Amino acid sequence: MNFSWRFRLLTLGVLLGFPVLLAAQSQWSLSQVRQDSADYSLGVRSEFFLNSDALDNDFFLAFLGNRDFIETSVKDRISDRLGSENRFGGELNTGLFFSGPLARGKGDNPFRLSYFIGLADRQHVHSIFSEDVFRLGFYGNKRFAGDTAKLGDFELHAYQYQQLQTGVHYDNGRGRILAAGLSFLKGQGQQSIEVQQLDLFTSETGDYLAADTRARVRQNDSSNTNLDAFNGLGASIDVMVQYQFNLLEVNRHGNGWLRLEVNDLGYLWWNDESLDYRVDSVYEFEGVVFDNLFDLNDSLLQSQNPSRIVDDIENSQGRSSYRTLLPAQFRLTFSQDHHRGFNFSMRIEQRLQAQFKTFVLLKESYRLKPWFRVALMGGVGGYGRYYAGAEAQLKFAHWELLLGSNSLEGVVLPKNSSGSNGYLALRTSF
Amino acid sequence: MISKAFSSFVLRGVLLLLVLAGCRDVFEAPRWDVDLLAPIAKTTLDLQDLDQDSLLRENNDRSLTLVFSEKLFSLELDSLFEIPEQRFDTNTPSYPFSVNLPPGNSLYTDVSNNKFDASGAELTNAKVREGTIELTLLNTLNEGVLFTYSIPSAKLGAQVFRKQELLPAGSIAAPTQSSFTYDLAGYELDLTGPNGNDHNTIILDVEAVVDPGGQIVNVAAGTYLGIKSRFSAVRPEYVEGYFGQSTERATSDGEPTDLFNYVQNGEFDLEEVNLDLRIRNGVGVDFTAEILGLTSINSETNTTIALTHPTIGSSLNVNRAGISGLVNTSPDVLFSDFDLSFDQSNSNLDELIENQPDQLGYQVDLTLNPLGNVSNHRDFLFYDKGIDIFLDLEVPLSFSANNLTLLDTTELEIADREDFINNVIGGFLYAYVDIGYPFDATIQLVMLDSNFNFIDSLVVPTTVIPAAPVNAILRVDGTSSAKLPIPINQNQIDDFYAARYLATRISLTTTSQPDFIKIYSDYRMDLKVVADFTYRVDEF
Repeated sequence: MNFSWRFRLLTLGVLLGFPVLLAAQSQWSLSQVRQDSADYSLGVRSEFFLNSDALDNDFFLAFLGNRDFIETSVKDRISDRLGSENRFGGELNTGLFFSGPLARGKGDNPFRLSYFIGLADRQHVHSIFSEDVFRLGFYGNKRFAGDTAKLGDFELHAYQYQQLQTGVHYDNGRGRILAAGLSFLKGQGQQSIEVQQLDLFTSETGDYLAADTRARVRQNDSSNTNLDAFNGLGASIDVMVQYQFNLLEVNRHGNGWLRLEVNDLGYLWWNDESLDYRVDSVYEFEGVVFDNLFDLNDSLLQSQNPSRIVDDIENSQGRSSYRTLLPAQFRLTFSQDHHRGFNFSMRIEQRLQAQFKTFVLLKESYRLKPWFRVALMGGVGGYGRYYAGAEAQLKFAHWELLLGSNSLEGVVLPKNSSGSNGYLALRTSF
Repeated sequence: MISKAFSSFVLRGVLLLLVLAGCRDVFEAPRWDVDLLAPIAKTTLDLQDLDQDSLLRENNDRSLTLVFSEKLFSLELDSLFEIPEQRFDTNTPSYPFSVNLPPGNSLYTDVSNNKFDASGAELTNAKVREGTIELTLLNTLNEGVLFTYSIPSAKLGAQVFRKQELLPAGSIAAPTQSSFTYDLAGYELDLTGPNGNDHNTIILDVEAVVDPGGQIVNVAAGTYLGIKSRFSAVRPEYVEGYFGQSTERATSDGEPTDLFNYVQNGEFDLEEVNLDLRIRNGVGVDFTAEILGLTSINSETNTTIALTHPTIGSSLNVNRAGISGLVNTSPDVLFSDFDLSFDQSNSNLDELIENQPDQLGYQVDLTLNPLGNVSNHRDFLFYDKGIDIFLDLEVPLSFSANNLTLLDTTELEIADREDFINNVIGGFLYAYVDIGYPFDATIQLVMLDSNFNFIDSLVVPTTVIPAAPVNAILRVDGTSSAKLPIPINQNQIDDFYAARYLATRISLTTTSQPDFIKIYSDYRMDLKVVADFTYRVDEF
């Protein structure tokens, strides 16, 4: 697994110094690029989340290099928390967007039709792993002496791509909004590890190891994984539909709506230089076999070949093109003003093939000033267990800043909770 | 207006980008420790591994006998009969008066028999393996001269050695001169002279004529020709003749032997030992051999033991070798062997062997043709055949040992392993040994620097692997097991870096068995090395 420096940087920034600026699961959607009454909007947005139902923030801090060393106490704490199935996931999305008007209605038909374009760097990683994966990786195989480490049902998928998006945004002026975007994707890097079975047996004395492996590893051409790498092509669509939907009639300014979004529904096709490695074999290792104690030599000392391959059903390595389905996001959001200045919203979210548990987020916000709004939120699901966060929105003249985090609990109680999340959007209208 | 809007757009864009820009930091890779338990190596060791230069022979009862052969010395006689450098120089007589001669007219003719010295040998035939003849010609005639140089007694197949060279015109004041070199390899030389009853004789035939393609020439008074020939470095493929009577002495104060290369120290007592000393004569000449001495030298203990045997100091008559086939058609040489047998009953051979010699000394006199020219000039010698003395040693592996220490050293090249070893925090390598030999044994792995100086020991030296149990007939019946800890700590890792050689030292002792212990071919020692250490992961 190869975390980019940006991934680590933002993670660390969230956990150490900018908890207010950053928040929870992904906020990345078309709703962020819509414009209000201005003709033109230009904005930047960045969001990050890294979450797990087993790994806590203190571990993430250590793992991401904030500390020199991951102490045994940290590993022990995680180990005690592990279940038979554990997961983590994260994203780092950063981009620019611009929108402008196409048409505007008048009188009884006050619709607004606008276009938008955006450019973004997208990174995603998620994994599901057994408790033995963590224990083998962080404690070693000695604790499995005389036993078998069950490392199967392991998945790790990581993507990095750049997105050029364009689309239209339609507001009929009566509470109905439609938006659709089409994205061209440039694949920068991808790594996918799927281990259906990996049973590693360590004998009592350690003189014998055996591994029963059935796995597939796919990875794009590793000769260039920099930002300019063009290792794949793809396309995706984003759709948003919003209806006015008032459950409460608070006052004449009362407002409620229901929004359905589909984001990042698409594929990436990685080029034919991509590596596709499949293995379905049983290996046994009893050490390097040498014929003569008195004839040790360098080639012997450097040999790492297994003693034998017992059952070689499949062991292939080739380069071929393949496609990956993006972890598309389906989101349903309900928002309702209920008292003067107060708003309640609920979000339900699911993702495609991303080992993602249904995520539910509840948020209550209050407008303190016309230019300042704050919110508190809590949720469950996703890659983590539970969430508690806050959000702030400020407007100054033509500038608007939105920042928040729905995983502040990971900052407050880093040893007891997991979750690092933050989002930042800055927009100017003119 | 457009310009203002555009400026505002750019300015706001730059501001937004600045917000996104962060300080790029360099992160340390995460590090943590894991406890690894993994097999490193395994082997089955038998005694054949200890000394691959020797041959272990399995006897009918599956007991083993060590068979060791070594050439004690080799006497190459061909250098004795090398034809030494020979010069044959001729300046023709000067013409006393002026005379006109037509093209092709003879200027000089000479056939000569030339004898050479061959260190007392009387050679009748030879075949040249390597050697050249260099011909230098000189002409003072003011017309070209054609020289013909022949050796009628030298033939390559049926072709007589004959060379012609045309020298351009010269003058008495400024002669023309040229040198030519011809290869003699492969030529057979009949050295018996024109009548076939002589020896060491080379016949030369030289002729010079006026260039047959030239003009009538006036030979001025005082004109002469020069013909010089030089045989150099002529080594024979074979020679034949009478080699004369001479005595050659072969002697060595200490010829290195690798018989006990692997033995560092300790003692052993052999139940039986046999030595065949074989004198092999590959030369067609009778000789007597007088073994004046054979000594076992242990330079470590500074102990020298001389062999005692009735033949020491007496003359041994060794017959000449024979030939199968014709001499000039690459025949097979039929060696003549003379064998002497030594054992404990007729000599102190066991003492010589138990001395664990690293050198063997000897002094042997060889006297050729002690009865004179009994072959009537039929002695022969081929280039790669001489007189050799071999030692064929057979030691049944039935012995008792006291701290008999076997040592071997192998070079360590671990440059590519530095990253791995750097991350080993500490722990142990465990050697699991199942021994099927009737010895108490200790194993040490010793690190040495580039000058073979001791750096550190890997295995705790006091750990003894007990001997395998034996039954009533002293045959191993089962195995004994041991777990040898090899501590791995930072000091030893540092030492490992400094080490350039790894010495394996095994000490064997049979003190629990007072009798001789036989070693059988099915005895084995299984060794597994398992790593049990803490490793620091720092690249992820």
